[in-house]
Amino acid sequence: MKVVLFCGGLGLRIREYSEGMPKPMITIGHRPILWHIMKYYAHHGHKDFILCLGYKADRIKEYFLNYNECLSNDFVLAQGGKQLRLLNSDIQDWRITFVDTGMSATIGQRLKAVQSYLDGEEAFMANYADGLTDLPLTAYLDHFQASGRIAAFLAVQPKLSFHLVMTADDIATDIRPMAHANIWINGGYFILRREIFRYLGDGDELVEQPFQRLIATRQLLAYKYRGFWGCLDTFKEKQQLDELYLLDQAPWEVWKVRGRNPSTVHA
Amino acid sequence: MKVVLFCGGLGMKLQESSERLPKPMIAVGSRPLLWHIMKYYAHYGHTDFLLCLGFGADVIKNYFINYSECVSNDFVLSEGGKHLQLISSDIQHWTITFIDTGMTTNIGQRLKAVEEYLDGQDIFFANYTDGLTDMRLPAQLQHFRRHSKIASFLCVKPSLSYHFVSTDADGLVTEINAGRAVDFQVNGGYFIFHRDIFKYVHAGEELLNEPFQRLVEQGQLLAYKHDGFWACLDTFKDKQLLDEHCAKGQAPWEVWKRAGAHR
Repeated sequence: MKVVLFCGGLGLRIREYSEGMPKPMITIGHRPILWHIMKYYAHHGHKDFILCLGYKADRIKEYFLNYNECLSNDFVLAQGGKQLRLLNSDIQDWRITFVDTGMSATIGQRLKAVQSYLDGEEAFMANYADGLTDLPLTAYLDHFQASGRIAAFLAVQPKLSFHLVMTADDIATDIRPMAHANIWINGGYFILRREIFRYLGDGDELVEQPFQRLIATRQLLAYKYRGFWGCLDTFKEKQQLDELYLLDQAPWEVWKVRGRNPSTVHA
Repeated sequence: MKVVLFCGGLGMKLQESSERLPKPMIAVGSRPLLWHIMKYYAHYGHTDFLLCLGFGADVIKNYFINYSECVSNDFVLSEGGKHLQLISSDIQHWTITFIDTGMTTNIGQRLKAVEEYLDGQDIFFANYTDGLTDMRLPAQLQHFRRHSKIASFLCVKPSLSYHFVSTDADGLVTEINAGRAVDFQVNGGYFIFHRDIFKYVHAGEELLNEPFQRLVEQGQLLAYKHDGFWACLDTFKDKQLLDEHCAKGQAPWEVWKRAGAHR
């Protein structure tokens, strides 16, 4: 299945850190978050990527044009460097289509801009390219296919430091961390059927009018997931992801075999 | 009334290269967030501050020790600089007590650590020092006095850049809303406490956990609802928003700039 990755946004929430860098190029460990996301999809067998570029498209293109498999992988050097033999490789069997979708286009319009590259695809996946998860992708895909709906997204619980309050006549009756509240947000990781383009009008933002239309026709599925989901919104979150990576406890690295049980499954 | 300001948290690194600043010292406009909050309380006549310090205590201390009223205010210079006459002043009438409450202490324990400085105070204010509001403080105080409970906090609806989702039993989406449209309310971090709060905070406890649960159980926790402006400083986007308000000349929380502002 093809994977559309939205890589063109400005990354406002983490801007000061990422000045001069498009958000998907912000590194977790020593690789861009975009790489981690692509690796995740590739692990599940989806290696045909369409990158919707915009802000600082050149940085993303250059990264892949100058991609050095040796830096990412183990290899054998012999004959003083004349011979290099990779022991494994990352992106050898990936196919990546780079499409400039404009500097300030919305996600909806970026998706529309790559429609021609999705010709003949019954369904495809799409991603904000700013979040990581250990979601079992195949189970999610199966669930989507079985539902027969047009669109699905990953619903996750936001990590907010607020305390949610319930009141009666100005007296607090309950106060609890937001994390313990039954609050779900759109975590990206979309699966979309080609019919989505019929719902997407000119100028529409994907999660606004099109999603409202999908809701009205009962075609929008939320796949609730209580496992790991982390998003690169603030510098603090980047640090948390970095830490997990450095401790070799990055849950989204599903391609690494670890003697650990995956975290909680689909709610 | 005394004002306890929690200033000891680990803070925020807005940029990888930048020195990590304690959050209260992050600039909003040209002055630290902390200054704006103190100015807000001072406007309503509360100028006796207790700063619970921890991370970055030195940065906060130095800011006030080296405070130049001239930088913040209009003044007349004469006799080639020998004579400076301030036309207005900010902190001249403030009393600020600086207390180191530990590096990794939680809010509950920071509060406990300054208990002795609150001797004789029946009620006092406390603040997370991470948010700004245009709430009328005297109204919260009046509300608190009228209900005579142990604690009151500012109850606000945060505006968040998420899409909130409601579903039916099949997982089909019934509603998806951006930001503030969702009707939930959170603790905005502007507290008023009766001294009895200390009976509710036991050793090691975080204020909003066990102590607030006890208050809730006994109906002693007041939510003061405010629909006006409230914003906290968590992300760079938040900072930008606050800076923009400042640049316009009269930010919503700058109650001290209002013409004929009532106290």
